[in-house]
Amino acid sequence: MFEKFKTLPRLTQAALVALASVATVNAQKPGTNQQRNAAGPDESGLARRQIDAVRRLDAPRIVERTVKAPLLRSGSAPVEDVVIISEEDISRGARLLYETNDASRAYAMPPNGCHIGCVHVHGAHSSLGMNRIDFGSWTFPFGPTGDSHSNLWWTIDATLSATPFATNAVLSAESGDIYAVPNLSRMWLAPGDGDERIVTWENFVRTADTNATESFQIVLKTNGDYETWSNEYGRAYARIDPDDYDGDGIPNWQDYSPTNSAAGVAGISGSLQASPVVMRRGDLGILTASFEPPASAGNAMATLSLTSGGDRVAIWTSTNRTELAVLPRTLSQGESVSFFIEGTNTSQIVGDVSFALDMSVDGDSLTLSRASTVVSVSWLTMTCPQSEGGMRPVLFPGEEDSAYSITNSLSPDQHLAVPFCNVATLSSNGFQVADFSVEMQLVLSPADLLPASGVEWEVASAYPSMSGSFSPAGILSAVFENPRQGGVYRFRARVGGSPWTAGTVVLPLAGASMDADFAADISTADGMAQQIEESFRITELSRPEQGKAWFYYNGMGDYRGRVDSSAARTIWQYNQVNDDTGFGAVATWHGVPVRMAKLSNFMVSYTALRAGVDWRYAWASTIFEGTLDDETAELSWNAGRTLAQSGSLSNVVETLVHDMWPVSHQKERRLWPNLEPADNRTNEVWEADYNFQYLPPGFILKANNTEN
Amino acid sequence: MIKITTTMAAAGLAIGGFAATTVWPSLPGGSLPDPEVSTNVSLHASAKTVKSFSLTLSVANPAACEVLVAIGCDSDGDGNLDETETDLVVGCDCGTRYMVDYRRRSITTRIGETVTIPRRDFGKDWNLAKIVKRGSGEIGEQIVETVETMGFTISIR
Repeated sequence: MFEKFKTLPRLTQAALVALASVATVNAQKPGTNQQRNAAGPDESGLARRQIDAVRRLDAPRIVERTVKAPLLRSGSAPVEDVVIISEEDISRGARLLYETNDASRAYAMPPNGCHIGCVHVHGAHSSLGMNRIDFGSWTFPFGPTGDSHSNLWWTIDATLSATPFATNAVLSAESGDIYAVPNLSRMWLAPGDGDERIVTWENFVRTADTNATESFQIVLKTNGDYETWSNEYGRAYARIDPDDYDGDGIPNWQDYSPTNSAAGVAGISGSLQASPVVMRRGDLGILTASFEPPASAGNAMATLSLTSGGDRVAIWTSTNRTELAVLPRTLSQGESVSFFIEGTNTSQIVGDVSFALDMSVDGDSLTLSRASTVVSVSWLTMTCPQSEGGMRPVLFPGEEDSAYSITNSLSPDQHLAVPFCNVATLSSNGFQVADFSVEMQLVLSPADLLPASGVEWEVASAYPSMSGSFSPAGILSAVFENPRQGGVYRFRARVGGSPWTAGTVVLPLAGASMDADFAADISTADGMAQQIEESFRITELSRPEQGKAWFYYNGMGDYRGRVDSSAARTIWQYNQVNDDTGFGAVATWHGVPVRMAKLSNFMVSYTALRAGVDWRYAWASTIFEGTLDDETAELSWNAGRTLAQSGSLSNVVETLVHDMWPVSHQKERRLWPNLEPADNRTNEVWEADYNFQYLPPGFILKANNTEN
Repeated sequence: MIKITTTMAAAGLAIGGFAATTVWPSLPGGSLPDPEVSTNVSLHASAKTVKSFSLTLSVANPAACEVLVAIGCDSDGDGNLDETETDLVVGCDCGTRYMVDYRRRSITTRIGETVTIPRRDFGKDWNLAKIVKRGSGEIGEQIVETVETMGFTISIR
């Protein structure tokens, strides 16, 4: 049947092969072909290929294998070339993938290596002798069939083959005529990474000049791929699938006649490479193509084109993006071109940008195809079980350096907030903040495809200063762990040079510390109390109208405004203040967030009782003239009375804030303590802006003669 | 010392027997750094007359040297047995004795000082042997080929 096939017109043959390529096909790994293994070693490789060519026309196969370039240890830039192979390639069952250099490559025998032969003892120049390496149970598929070999014959001239003195099917490190010198040269075998076997000709000489030693190496891999090294020069070879010579997974003319073309000469050679992932608005990808037809070819031509996704990319001739490349582009014989791919719009599906290099030689054609995907960052998500929203993620738009303003209160910027009370407990030793973490994840579109340049994560800003740690947790994820200080923490990431995507974690700071200002005010109040006591009779001291006049009207007894520090500003959204009355703000008092009204209560209680006002009447004035008090109000009032009777300010306040915290309003409890001293106090009663300034009680201002 | 003994059969009635000794030339001296020297000698035995073929390889100081005898057919007639022309190698490599049959791609190391080749394995076109010495220093080899002919054979029909 095969002979009949060959008698058909070449165009018909090509058409029949093309029809077979439309169906799904099975690619079989070298050395694992069940047909070959079941029957044992198959010596008639050529005949089997011919039979298989006929079989492919009858039965479809499923593509399961793709050709991958093996990576050299360093200095390599793998390029997937689809090349029509030579007879030499077929005989050894491998084709050259690429060449590279590694000036730092070392050839010294490792501790787990063993000598091959005794050339290190007596030297050698010819290859006569026990020149066979036995690998034991390790095997290497080699040659035109799927046979695996557990031993190979070596020569002094850095070759390996399945038979001694072979002239084809030879793995050669291209050493030429060399020989081994006693006590200088040696051959050794050692296992390598990934179950490789490394055969080395170390310090051999080429002439009588023993100073000029050279080394050679052949690295064998279990899948039939191998590398050859000649000093710093390396070549990587990939095992050829005898059923799919060009490695494209499709039975085609090149598989049927791998070394032939219509002109009867060695086949078409070309390469096409395109960066598989290009970030939108990120780093440029690379598109390269080359075309090398046989020297004796007649009508040879190649065309590079962008076959789909033209609305998603811009192709530039250089990295400065000044001139667009014109595609389709015809390549001359022996020409190589390089262009640069810019992602302009995100792909809808993976690989929707495709390039093709159409090559033809005397009517025979081969098309190489490569696909790219334009990827963008859709979202940055943040999650924290202790956050305001629990495990519900907070989303930040992709490729936007989302800002966060402390003062945006009515329309706050997107952020993830962690209330202090969700992570902190108060004991006699103060607050203990438990470990917690905020996990961040980049979401890409259309899929989590990454360009070669990877992902960058960084702390964009930390206000007032960094607390805790931040580190990438995976390629597209990071984690912010265990901060101990309130503030605003911004993190950002970018992929492959894309614009930054930022997100913000807010541990909302309370108002600044009132410790120093309040202590000074208590001293002032003490002096005032003494004056009142000396100036008024006891009956006057207990009149509610007096209490109103001294401690209530016109804010005489109240701290007003938002206490703040320029070194560590409080978050307005979580520390709101009434713009008209100045009431409602939260400050920090002895390390505990406390509503300013409690400081006012304490101050009035203390001053009134120090002045000699009967505490029952003072308390009654708060009932009739003030608002209904909650438990914290009662605690703060009573603490002022306690101090008026005895004790130290520090101890009384310490006890007070510890007692208030468990029963405080959620507004105070969610705020993180702010230990910076307040620095926005003003005496301008009529000019004060309660958002930016705070006023002490009026009676303090009067007592200091500082009221304006 | 390398000693090759070949027994040949004489057709018909032969009277008496004889032995002939051929002393092969010594290996030339080595010149560093090329550690290998060799010489080619003609084989007097031939497949037509050989009944058995024995090769004795005696090496005085085997530890740091290799001596081998390669046998094959000088097909290109250049007087030098190339590697591709070699069918059989018997050697002693740093004290390890071996025999390599390149036709069968086999290596045997369980051999003694004397190796006997059956007639059926004797190459019918063998005409050249190459002795190779590797290493430096005096190895003390001596190469002797001894050809022995059988006394007589009586065939009665």
